[in-house]
Amino acid sequence: MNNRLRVLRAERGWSQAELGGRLDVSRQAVNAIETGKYDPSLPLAFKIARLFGQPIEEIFDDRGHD
Amino acid sequence: MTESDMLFYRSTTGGRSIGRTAIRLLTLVPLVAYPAGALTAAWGDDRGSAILGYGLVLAALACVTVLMGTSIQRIVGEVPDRLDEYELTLRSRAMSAAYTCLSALVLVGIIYFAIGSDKGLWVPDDFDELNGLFWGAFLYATLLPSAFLAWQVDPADLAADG
Repeated sequence: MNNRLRVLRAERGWSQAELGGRLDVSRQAVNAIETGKYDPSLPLAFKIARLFGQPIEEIFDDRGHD
Repeated sequence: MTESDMLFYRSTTGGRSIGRTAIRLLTLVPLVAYPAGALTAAWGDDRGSAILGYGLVLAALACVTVLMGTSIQRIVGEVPDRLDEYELTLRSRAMSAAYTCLSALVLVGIIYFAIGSDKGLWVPDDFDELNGLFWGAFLYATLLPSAFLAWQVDPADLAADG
């Protein structure tokens, strides 16, 4: 699944560790999501969406991954 | 789950990061060196075989000692409450693969014991040989999840900083 997490994080000037702290996950988890190696659970995806104040579908895009 | 419930609890920190090749060797070498060493010591009837066999066993234990405290081992052995969903997913995947592999090894071992006893093949029968088999099984049960995890992910992605 593609996502805009790295862009959104960069816009706010946060490090992966800082974002991980705000989401209560490890830096490794943030890195895995940003690089597309791991798709977050629905609760974590909602948490990310709330943190950035955007709908989930604005951050995550599953087109081409059916 | 509390810390006292964890049989293989190892670390509360992020774990030490080691390079990909090194961590894979640290998991692979013991899985090869221990059975090779134990069988060499059991089958050999001279002093040289015993020294070589126990040397290989010691090399296996040395690798396991270095592996403890690494980020890979932390994911396998840490209290679940202290892992996030990504780490738990990695752990679950590694445990599942290790269970399948261990089950297959146990099945092959049982079949060998059944056939070997009838056909006169070597099977462990004294205390030293059975003791070696026990610790080998223990080593495989504890190390296989780490080994699968080391080959499934790039350890650099699990580094505490970066």
